[in-house]
Amino acid sequence: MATQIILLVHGMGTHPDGEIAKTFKRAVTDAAKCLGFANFNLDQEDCQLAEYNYSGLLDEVRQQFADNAAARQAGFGHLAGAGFAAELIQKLTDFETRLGTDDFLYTHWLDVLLYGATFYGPRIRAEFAGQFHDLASQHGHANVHVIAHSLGTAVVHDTFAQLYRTGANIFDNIPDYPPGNFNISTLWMFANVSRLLNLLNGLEDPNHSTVVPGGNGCADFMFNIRHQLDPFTWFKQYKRTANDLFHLENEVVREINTHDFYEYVAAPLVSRTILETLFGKTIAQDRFDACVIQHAANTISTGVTELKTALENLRDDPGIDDLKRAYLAYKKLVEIAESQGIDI
Amino acid sequence: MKPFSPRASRVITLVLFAVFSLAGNAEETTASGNSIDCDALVERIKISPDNIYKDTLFPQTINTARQVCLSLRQAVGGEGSTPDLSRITADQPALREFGARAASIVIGQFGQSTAISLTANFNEMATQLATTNIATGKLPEFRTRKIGSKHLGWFSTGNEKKFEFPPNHPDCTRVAANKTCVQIFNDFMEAFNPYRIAYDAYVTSQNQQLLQNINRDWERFLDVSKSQTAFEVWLTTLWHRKHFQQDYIVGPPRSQVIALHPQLVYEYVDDATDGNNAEFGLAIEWLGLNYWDLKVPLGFSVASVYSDRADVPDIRTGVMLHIDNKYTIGWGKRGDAEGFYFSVDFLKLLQNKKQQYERYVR
Repeated sequence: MATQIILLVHGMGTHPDGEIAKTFKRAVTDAAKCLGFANFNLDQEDCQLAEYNYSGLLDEVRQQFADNAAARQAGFGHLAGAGFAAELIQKLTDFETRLGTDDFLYTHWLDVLLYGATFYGPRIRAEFAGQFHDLASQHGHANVHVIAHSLGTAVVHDTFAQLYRTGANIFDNIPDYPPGNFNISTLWMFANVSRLLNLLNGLEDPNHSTVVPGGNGCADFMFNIRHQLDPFTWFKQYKRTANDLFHLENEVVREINTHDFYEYVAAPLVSRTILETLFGKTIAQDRFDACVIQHAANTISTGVTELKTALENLRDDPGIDDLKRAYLAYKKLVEIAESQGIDI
Repeated sequence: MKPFSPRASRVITLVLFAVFSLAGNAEETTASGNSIDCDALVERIKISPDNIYKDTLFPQTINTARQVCLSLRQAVGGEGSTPDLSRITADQPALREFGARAASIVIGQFGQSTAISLTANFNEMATQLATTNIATGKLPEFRTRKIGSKHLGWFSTGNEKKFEFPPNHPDCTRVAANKTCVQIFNDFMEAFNPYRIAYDAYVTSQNQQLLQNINRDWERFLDVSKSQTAFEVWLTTLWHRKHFQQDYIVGPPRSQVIALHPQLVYEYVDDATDGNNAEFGLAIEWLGLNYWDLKVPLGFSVASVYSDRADVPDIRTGVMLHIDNKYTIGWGKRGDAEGFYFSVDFLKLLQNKKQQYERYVR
């Protein structure tokens, strides 16, 4: 088998180069040990990890907005008697000066807005398409596996929906592939928010796009992975059904941050699927069962049941009381975590 | 934004295509302009000496690969701005016969097997190749993968369920005494897939060229266009929403919306007191557009300028012009007082230097 290329795409927030690859490697290695491969070493497998990093661009954009606004404020401050005009500028630039800070609001939610509602989204898709195409043409599409997390699932979905075009014509001067002819091997969507982002950018609906396995799609296999208590996957859930499209769910809470990529990958059901699909390992059922027990040993159990019940009610028939109950349950869970000295 | 005409773009692609396809043995080729040596390309296709499909399927693979290459060359090398699609039909009989032959060989070998149920997959492949065309059609590629303890086989364009095969089985040793099932299907993959060699090389080089162009345009846009506030970025996206909602990868917008954009200007008012004619002022562009990618980039907006004056009104409204995404001149008037001003986009200048430095550091 040729060298397998694993292309990772991170989620929202700031991600230094190489971070998501390190996290993936650590999670798979830890999980492999749990599943009976004590000597598993990803560096010795016939694979290469690559990543697409767009957080550098978004960090730069946020910083530029902030720097420019601060420079304007400073420049206008020197104007003699500027009066109300300077006040107006202050108001116009106030918001932007805050964009360079490390607040969660700006480093996470603003990424969502910048990707979903501005031209930085198309810019990111073009850049990702270029990097993906270079890798795939170098190693063969059949040897490429794409793993995306959170906002990265929207980046990958939207890019692939635009690359694998129904009705593509190889002479149309558009960078595209006829679906089926250049499918990648596997596509992994962790904490899939592509339908949520679709509300913002109005591109191809993930429920009907070519981002699906098979002859009219873009991959041979697709895995959609969600944590039942990950708030990012509560709304506009991805539930599409197709041959070779597998939905994997986890409900064990070992970290309060149920959106965490390491925790997603390290879940036994997920890591078993990764080891079997990407690395051809065979895992005996008894070994898997033992790992499930070991993995769940560090579960934060108090408070989780209440939160889960509240969330299920909220999802099925959302009302103000359910919202209140879900909020209180989540608050209680956070208090438990804090009392145990867990950093949230 | 579109430096190459479709025809020129295809010629470039063709040259790249030749380089891509023949990398490693370029000395054997005579690829120039719109001429590709399909024989040399096909000669690159190799097969293992002990491949069980070497004599039954592989010769037809070679022939089909040559036909596909010739069709591509004819289509792309045609005159005019669009490919001559009527000239790509030459490959259809070859593809149809190739698909039928491959299906007949393998179904003949495994059609009766109860352990390996692949007839539906191979019939689907043959049907697809019988009706395909290289411009828009399906060109199946055979693939296998081991997942856990299962071995699966399928065609990439198929919608049939992937078929399962054991690593070894008497039905396989019946086909080839010294081979496992895994080896037999690897043999088939090696013998079948190369019929696409020219197609793969063309699509790959075409897409690479197009994506490089798009990304180069984006880089240029981010480097040289006028600096914008977050609000202007959002408005620019809305203004060009049709462009950004195309169902394919697109380049940057052709223009930038200017709205509520504050900046520092140096203004001259002739009617002001002598010695007080030239002052720094604060300008707000209310609404305008900047065409950042013209040969000489040009923008305009309606703007007001505020500067603290003793004997003329403080605020004048008029027109602002942007040249080359950096330089600004403007005129404003209120009552009899006229003012002329200019400015330089220092933010963009500084930003460019900073970006260059950061890229250098990276």
